[in-house]
Amino acid sequence: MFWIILGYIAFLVVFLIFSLAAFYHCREYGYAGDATKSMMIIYSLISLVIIVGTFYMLIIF
Amino acid sequence: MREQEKPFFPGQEKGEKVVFFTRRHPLSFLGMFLFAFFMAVLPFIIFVLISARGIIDLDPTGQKIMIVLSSAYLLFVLGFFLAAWIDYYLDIMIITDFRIVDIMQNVLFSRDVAEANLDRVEDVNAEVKGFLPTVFHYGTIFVQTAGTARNFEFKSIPNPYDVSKMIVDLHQKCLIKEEKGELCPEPKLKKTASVDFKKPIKEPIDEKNNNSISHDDLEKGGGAEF
Repeated sequence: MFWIILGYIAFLVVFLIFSLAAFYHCREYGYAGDATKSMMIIYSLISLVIIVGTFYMLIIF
Repeated sequence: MREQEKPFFPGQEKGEKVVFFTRRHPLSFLGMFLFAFFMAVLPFIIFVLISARGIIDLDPTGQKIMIVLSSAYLLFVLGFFLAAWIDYYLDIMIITDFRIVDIMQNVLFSRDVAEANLDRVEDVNAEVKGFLPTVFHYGTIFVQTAGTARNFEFKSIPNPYDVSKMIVDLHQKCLIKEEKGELCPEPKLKKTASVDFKKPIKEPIDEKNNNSISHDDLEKGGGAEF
C-alpha cells in the first residue's frame, strides 16, 4: 500500500507541474475579463475535491 | 504601467485600434468536451455495472488501490480537458484598423502568432460547411495575401460572411488611406530593422548601374545597357 500512495504522490507532483504550466498560459495569454480566471478557479476546485476526497476515502477504508 | 496603457495583444502599436476580436465558436469545442466527459464517466459506469452483478469483490486493500487509480484517472482526464480548452480558448483572431493578427495556441508550449497588413489582403473567402456550422452560423475564413506574406485560415469563426465583408471594407479603407499618403505601419513582430514609415523611401540612384532608359539613350536609338 505504501508504494501505491508513493506512486500517487509522484503522480500528484507531475499533475501539479502540468497545472502550473497550464495556469501560466492562462495568465500570460488570457485577456482581461475573459474566462481563463474562472476556468483556473473551477479546475483548482475540482482537483482539490478529487485529491482531498481520495485521501479522505483512503483514511476511512 | 497602468492597466489602460497595456497593449491588448503582443506587438500592438501605439494608437492602433482593435476593430474586431473573436475566438472560435463554442460549438467547435463541443466534440472535445463530450469526449472528455465520456472518458471521465465511462469507467465508473462499467465499474458500477460490474459491482452490481457481483462479478468482482474487492478486499480493503483492493478498494484502496481502486480509489487511488480512479483518482489518478480523473485528474488525468481533468488535465487533458484543461489542455484542450486552452488550445481552443487561446486561438484568437484580431483585426485592427490596419492589420490582421492570427494567434494559434497548439496545446501547451507551442504558440504561433502571424500577422499581415490589411493593404496586402488580396482575397477573402468565407466557407460554412456542415450541419452545425450552418444552423449556428460559424465557418472558416480564408484570407489570401500578396507577396511572400502568409495566407490565413481562421476556423470556426462566428458569422464568417460578416467578418469577411468587414475585412474587405477595412482593406478598402486602408487603400484609401494609402492614397492620401497615410501609410499603414508595417507589422512590428516580424520587423527586423527600424524604418520611419512616414518618410517616403528614396533610394540613392546609382548613375552607372541605372537600368532606366534616359532621354539621351532614346535619342541615340540604342537604349540602356542591361
